[in-house]
Amino acid sequence: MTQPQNAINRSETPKDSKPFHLRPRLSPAEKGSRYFFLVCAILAMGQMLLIMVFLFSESVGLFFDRPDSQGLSVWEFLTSKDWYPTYPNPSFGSFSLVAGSLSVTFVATLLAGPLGLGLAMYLACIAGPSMRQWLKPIIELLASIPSVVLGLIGMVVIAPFLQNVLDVPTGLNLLNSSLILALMATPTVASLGEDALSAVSKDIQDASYALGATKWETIWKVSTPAALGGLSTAVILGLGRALGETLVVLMVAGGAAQVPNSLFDSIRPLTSTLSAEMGETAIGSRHYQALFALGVLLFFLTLAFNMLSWYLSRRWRTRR
Amino acid sequence: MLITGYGKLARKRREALALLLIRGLALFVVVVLGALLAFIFVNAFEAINWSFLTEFPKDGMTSGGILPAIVGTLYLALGSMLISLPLGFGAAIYLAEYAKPGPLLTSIRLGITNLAGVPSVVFGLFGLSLFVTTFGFGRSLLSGCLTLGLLTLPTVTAAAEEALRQTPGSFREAALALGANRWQAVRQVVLPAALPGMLTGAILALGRAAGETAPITLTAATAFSPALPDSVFNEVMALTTHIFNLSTNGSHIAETKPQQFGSCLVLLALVLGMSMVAILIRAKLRKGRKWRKNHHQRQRNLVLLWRFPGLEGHQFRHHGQRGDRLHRSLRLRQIDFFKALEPDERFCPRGKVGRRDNHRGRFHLRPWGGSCRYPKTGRHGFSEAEPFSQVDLRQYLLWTKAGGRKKDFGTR
Repeated sequence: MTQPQNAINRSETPKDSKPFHLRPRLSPAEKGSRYFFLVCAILAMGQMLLIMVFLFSESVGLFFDRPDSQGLSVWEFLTSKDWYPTYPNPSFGSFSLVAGSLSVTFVATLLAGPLGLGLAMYLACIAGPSMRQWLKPIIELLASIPSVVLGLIGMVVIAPFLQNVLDVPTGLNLLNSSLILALMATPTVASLGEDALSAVSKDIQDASYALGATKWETIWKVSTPAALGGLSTAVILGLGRALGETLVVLMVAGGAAQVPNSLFDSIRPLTSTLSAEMGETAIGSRHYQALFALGVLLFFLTLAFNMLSWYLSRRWRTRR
Repeated sequence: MLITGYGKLARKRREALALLLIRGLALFVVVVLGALLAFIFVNAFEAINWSFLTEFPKDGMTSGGILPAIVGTLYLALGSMLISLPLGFGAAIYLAEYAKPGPLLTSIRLGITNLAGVPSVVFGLFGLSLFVTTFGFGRSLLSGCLTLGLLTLPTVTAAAEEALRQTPGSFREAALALGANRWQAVRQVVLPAALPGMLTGAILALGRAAGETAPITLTAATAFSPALPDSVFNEVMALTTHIFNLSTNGSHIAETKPQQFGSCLVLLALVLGMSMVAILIRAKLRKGRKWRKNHHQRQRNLVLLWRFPGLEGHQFRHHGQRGDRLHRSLRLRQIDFFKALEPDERFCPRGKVGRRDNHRGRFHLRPWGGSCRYPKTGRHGFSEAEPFSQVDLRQYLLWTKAGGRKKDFGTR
């Protein structure tokens, strides 16, 4: 009996020792790779815990008595305005530093929020496809400008400008650093905001047009509320970027540890304090521990912002 | 300024004003950022020449080149990728391919998301206390690379996971149905499809690592090094810290202006160049490769089979009893392979089974549908299926899972 050409010779069939349902489900490669990837993921997550553990363990000594000095109370650390770490009788109060960080972040967000969201609206709703195709990559490119370059611009261009035009004692102040931080955060806000606005369903926009709404009314009363979660996430992430930015504030914020009273006061945010003073302290000294305590503070501030954006994006999901 | 009322005219004016405002904002942002880049270019122009790129700094940094800083930045950025790529890709593969929804997945994802928002200076502190002090690496290239690697890890992971999630589920399902285990499916089907996207994220992270300053000042950087690093335990110079030092420390701030802006330009060229490459690749990927339901389906099938040279000759589950194997000749004939995969009675509902199979007892594959023996019903017959190229595998799987009827099963 001749077999058709494409029929397969049964004698070639490998003789498996076990039927399918009795074979082990996972091969060694399968099992091994699975655990390898799991370990990678847990390491990536565990880094978060590791950071916390190290920041705490390095800073906790500040709050306990030492042979040569008394421990600081947590309350005093949080509320005292005096940050004089190198005085013979040092005081480590973080309030003015936190105030500096929050004020510069707040002003920068006031500037970057409207700018970034306006740009996002332009990109998502107004610009034509070819314009968007060019503009979006350019915006993303600008988001990756290193902060030290922007800091240099702030020192060389904006500081003399502020000093001459507004006639303030120093150009290195809250306003200058807010301007630069806003410049840094704007592309981030714009890019994320554009994603959120583009994700809004075309159907509800069309419905709005069909009801006779103008373009602006559609953007403002339909797209924006629908994308509110994404837009708020965009602003908060931009804000987080401004809060954690080190080099810009180190270079252009002036560096005086005080609670700012006006836009033209020199300030000293947490990040710049950390970066400027860490190089000059002995490892294990009280100053070193105080700096790590500032690190803990900064860590939890940014964590709070992240959780907020996470919560908001879940609270107002973009309607697709 | 404020236009009140909802008359036709007021609405038109409000519209015009609002759109003008938004266009103005957009133009303003772009002009400011463009002017900024132009300013750097103009100022750096006089400093940039060949010796600037290839010499060591001289005369207290007021003249000479920035070679050690360029080399240091490259070492740091590339070294950090050695840490973050394996870990980040591994974590992304776990998250996208293996993890099941649950508390573990939620906590891992939450951890990685939050990690992305941690300020770089905090990573610097962490690196200082872990690598520099606890591990005793000192301020060195090694500490810097490790710190930057951890810093870029969330970026790499998020981008890679996104790329993996964008490969269609039908790829995995087809591979798994072919009898591949998860690792084979990932390695031979999903990874090749997702790799360009994953590498794009990696390049973006590389640019970010090259542009960081604060963690490097704490863990790796030195103001001046007379020689290039020859071991991982040497301190290095970096472009970012070089710019920072020139512009804030020392007594020659005004004299080193050209040096500062020259370094800025080199740094920008490095960072923006990397980002541009990544963004161009991504744009091309987005444009060129849309994994749509009925898009390139035939090619996809072929690709899947070609991805499985090791699988030819393997037994498939339903063939096990019959002793049939996927043969090379069948592979080249674009076999209708999902039918080869799972032709159980669900695919051929009783009412739909047509003629009796003349080739009963012999496995027979045809592009328009195969004959098979239905293990549960014991029936024989042809299925009246569409050619595979017109059928969406994912819909098919949904259909079989839902126990739907054949007419629900979308064909095009």
